[in-house]
Amino acid sequence: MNIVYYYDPDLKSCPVKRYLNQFDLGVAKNLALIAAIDSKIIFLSRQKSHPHPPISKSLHNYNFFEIRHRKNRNILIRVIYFCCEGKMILLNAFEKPDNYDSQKIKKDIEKIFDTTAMYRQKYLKNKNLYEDYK
Amino acid sequence: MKITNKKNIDPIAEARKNKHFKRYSDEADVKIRFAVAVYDARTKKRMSQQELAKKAQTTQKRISNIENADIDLGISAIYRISQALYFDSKTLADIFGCDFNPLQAQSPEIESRQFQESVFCGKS
Repeated sequence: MNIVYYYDPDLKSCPVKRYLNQFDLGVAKNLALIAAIDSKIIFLSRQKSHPHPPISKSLHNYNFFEIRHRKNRNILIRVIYFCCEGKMILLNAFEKPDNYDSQKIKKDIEKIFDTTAMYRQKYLKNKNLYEDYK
Repeated sequence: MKITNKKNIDPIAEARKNKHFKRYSDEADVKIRFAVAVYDARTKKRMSQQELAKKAQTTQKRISNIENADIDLGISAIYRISQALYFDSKTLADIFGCDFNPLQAQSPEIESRQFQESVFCGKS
């Protein structure tokens, strides 16, 4: 399965690239983190069925899957993707505290999922909205 | 001066240029294979993470992190989990990327020596 980044014409960038670009690759810890996320993405691209637990899981009420990766003790990185016509499309990425009770954080996460659902719709309307994952 | 739009740089392509990337990548692959093997064996045995944690003398959170391929494990933790899930030598060889020859498995001495050589000396 080909891996691609969703490109958002309004942002004029790919949300997943934008998220991952915040990491300074000169720091060994960040390089290891990017390598680990890349390994999970490549592993999933070779699987026939999605989601493929335990590496990816489905999200309730949404038509996409998530890859979780621990950034540190308290923070989880979530990379959201879906599959369409032989492509694995990386839609969005963000981080969240591992354990949270606050309603505000829950609402923020729902907002991100809604934005991601919008990205998915935009892609389905125009299937050229992508950049290659090299 | 050339202006680069950092938003459009492919971070993974950039990371791949680093000489240490492959090592990190190989380590991540082993964690993923171990995570999948643990998850598959646990769900096949209809065990909860809590039950496996109890059997392997660890915590549910640690099992969850292992299945997310998120943590580096020590030899004793790998040993306890492998014992709890009855991993055979082929499963372990697959996880660690070693060769497994079932014909030679008849001789435990040879199998053990070759397995150790492939793990510790990188021979295949």
